[in-house]
Amino acid sequence: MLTLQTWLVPALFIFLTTESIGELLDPCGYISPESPVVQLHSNFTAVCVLKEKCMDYFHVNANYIVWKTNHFTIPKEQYTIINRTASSVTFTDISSLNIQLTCNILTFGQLEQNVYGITIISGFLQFFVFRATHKFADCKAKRDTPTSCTVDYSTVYFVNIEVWVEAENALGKVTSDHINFDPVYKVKPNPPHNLSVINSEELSSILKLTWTNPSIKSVIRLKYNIQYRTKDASTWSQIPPEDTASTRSSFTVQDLKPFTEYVFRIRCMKEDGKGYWSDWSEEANGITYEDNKLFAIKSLTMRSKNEMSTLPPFEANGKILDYEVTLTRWKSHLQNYTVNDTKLTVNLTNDRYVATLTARNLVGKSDGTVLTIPACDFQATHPVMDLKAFPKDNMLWVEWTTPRESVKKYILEWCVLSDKAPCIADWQQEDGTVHRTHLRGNLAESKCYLITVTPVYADGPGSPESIKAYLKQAPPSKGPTVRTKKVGKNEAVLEWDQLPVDVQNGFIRNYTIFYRTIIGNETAVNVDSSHTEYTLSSLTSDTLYMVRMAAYTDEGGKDGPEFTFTTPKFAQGEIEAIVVPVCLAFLLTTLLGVLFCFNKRDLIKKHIWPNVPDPSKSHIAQWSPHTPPRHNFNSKDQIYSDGNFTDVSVVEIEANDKKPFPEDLKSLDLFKKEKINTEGHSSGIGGSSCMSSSRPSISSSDENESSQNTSSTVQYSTVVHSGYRHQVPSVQVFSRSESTQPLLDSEERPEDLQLVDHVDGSDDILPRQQYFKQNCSQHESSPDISHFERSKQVSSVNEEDFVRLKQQISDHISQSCGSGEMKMFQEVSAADAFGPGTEGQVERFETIGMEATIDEGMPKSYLPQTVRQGGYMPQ
Amino acid sequence: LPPPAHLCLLTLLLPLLSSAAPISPAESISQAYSLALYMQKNTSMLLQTYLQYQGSPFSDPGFSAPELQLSSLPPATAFFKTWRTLDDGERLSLAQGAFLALTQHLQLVRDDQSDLNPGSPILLAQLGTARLRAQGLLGNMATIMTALGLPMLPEEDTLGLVAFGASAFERKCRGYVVTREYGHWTDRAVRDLALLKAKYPA
Repeated sequence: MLTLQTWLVPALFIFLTTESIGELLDPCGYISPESPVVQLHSNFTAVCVLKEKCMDYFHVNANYIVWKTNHFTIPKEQYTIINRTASSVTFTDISSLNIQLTCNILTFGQLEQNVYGITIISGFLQFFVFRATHKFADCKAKRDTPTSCTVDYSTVYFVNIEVWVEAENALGKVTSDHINFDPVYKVKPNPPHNLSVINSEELSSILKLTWTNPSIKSVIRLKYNIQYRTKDASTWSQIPPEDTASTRSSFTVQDLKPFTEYVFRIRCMKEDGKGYWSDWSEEANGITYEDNKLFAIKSLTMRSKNEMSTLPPFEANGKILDYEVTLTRWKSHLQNYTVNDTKLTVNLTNDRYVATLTARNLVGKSDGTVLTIPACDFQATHPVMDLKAFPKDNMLWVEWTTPRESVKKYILEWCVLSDKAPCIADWQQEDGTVHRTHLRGNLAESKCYLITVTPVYADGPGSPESIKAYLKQAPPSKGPTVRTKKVGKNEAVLEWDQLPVDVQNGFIRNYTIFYRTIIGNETAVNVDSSHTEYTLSSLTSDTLYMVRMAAYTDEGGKDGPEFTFTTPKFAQGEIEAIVVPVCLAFLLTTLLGVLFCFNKRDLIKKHIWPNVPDPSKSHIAQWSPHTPPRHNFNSKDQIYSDGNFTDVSVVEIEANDKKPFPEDLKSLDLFKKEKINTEGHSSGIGGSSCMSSSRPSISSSDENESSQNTSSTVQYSTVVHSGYRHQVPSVQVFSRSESTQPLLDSEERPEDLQLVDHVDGSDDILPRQQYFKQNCSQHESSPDISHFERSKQVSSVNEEDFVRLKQQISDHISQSCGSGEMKMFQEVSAADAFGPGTEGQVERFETIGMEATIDEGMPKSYLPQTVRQGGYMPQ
Repeated sequence: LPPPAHLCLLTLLLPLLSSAAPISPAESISQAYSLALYMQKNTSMLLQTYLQYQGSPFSDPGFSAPELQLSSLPPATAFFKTWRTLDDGERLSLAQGAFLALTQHLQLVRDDQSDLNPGSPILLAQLGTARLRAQGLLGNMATIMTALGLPMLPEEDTLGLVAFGASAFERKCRGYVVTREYGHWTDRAVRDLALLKAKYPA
């Protein structure tokens, strides 16, 4: 058999040999076992036994033994003291292949004395054996790499070789399975070397690579991988493998950028793919040649009407020496400028200009780039439509719909929108046929890009269209700061500012407002991103609320700081709503009171400051010379003022009749009626309004006498009063003191009245009517001053009486009576004046006028009661 | 000669190919043919290298001595009709015999050269490689014959008597004939195996 054969032996045991090292001439002890054979990853225990003699000499025992491996002390935990002479050490899971184990004793002064040592040697032994015609030399594995072996021999390809591994140790010898293979299928070639790059003067877009193939090329055919990148790039591009699938020593890389430095590398393997790729070759650099065709100047831009600048060349294709700008003013004027900078400032008029820019490098001149500067009155129109921007494959794509007009080209400008930095535009140009492109530039994530697309027509630029886009959104880096704009009792108006564009990191899709009380659960409200205000309703009053806000982009959200506010106890205006009406009501009441007082000021004045007549101003003497007695009376009576004389009269009365009831006016009144004619008449008349009706009640209560007296008294008083009234109405006072005199007058015809009274004693009204009639007739027919005056006086008396009466028995008197006290007075006078009025009360009221409305029916219905009451009270 | 490729045996341990696996005739023929082709590429270089190291007249340009022959080496030239009409077994046996002789002669030449030109490792390596390849081709042919079920030739000492006391020139001439015939026999083996390959396509 000529076939080469090999044996393979797996070696899985540690080959442990021992040798005594550092052995003393007379060792102090020994390690057992001397030559153990231990399987790999198994446990191993060694025992060190000290000799008695040594122990005595050093004054030590087994506790003093220290084990060491390769001069490192083994932890005490692995020791076991067997007896005073022996200590053992245990290794678990032996993995190290070369261990030097020593047994030491710690002698006096912590000096370590080596006692005995063994070396554990372990490893694999491998053999490669060619039997029959040829046997290669054995390949012995090195100790430190026991699982691999490098054979150094001139390989014979297309011949199968057999390989096996043999391992041998104290336990025996083991042989592995044999493997049989043709080395040609296991080739890992050396990498191609001497890689060099040659550029071409003819073509600026190609570079030619040459290399030297590895020697294996004489045995096998090769295929290659060629990779390249620009010098600054980090990722490699690979030439399609099918282009390099056969043995070669050169390759021309095409479609490269002019004037650009590229880096190349190459590797190879057997053409059919059986075997292994070689390592990559060393890298080689090359620069493409400058291109005479500069499509460098991509665009001219106009910053303002007076300033025109070229943006930096997009692709220089070589070192640009200078630029040439030709400015044509509407076919007439030609101006040439040569600049080294990328900016040119020219003063222009308002006309239309055409600027042509060319760049020049070593090779030649570029094609011209034309910029039409429209006239001042030019109106940009026809923007692109449906502008869209979206990220895809880690690039930002822009897509638009072409306008109807034929577009020469599109200018895409973009910049990072930021509040901190100005918008520095980057740009690129696209052909007029393009309607979708990606931004060629280094775009950052979570930055807002403002992309502007401007179509360029034959006559100038069209209107630009802008759109914002993100390459990749992220949650905002800051949350919105919410604050309250207005806090009501049950609601709060929150407001916030839009997040600055720098922290947005994406399109804010919505906000979420979280609010809670200290104890309550958090409530979340979603708000559309267009809002900057939100009203929280149905809040609890007088409560501390904590509110915070989160802004969300497509990628997530971020909370803003928490804001606290307290809802007030009362809603705005609530206090006012309570206070103002209260104040108003108070004011109104006060006002009414004041008004009332004002209206009644005479009465009040009368009550508080009695009107004391000035006797010196009395003129009675002048107008009543024919009645001297009256004169006297008048002068006498003048002392008493209108309001006061009643009191005086009362006093007089009291002076006459102190026995009865001085306090009770009513009773006094009655008393007067009953007992004193002079006084009684006045009081009787005084009560005319009230009393007139009371009289019937009194009479009905079978007090005929009193009623008779009263009626007679009335008669008298009336006569007297009327007599005076015609002359001096204001000086009724006099009448009082004349009480005796009227009696004389009235006595002229007392029978008539008394008769009537007597006849109709049972019917009160009738005599009274009669009396009134008389009174009235008297008043009308005879302008007897004394008579009239008398009645007036009586009425005043009556009024006074009534006031007092009302004051004293106010609890008994009904409201109507009380409120109408003043009216009663007038009524009385009216009643006196119009006797018949008593018959038809309504009529009488009508004549009275304004009093009637307030005082309706009072004299008829209530006054009798009060009188009656008064009448009864004495009883 | 190519430097020896490094074989990482660790990787070879993984795919355990059975040596007992029967190899198809087409496979072994193809392998032998590839080897023969590979050898053919190097035979002229071996001869050139050999002559270059032997000095004049061997190293003279255009040196050729076709009449020099070795009785112990069977001639590679044959009548085409005779060669073509041989059956596979006979043809392979002839080649096998020739390469068996060549391996021994190449060893002899290498020994001579290590004596005559000790400072020429390239030549010695090429001679050694040539002998290894010849041995490999022998092994491949044996595999083919086994696969085709042809009888194996018994190994014999084809070299016969060797004049150990030959002069340096004689040894140089002997080496020249061996390296030249190695090339010729390699050429013939390529033709042999090409015929066989056509007969047993994969």
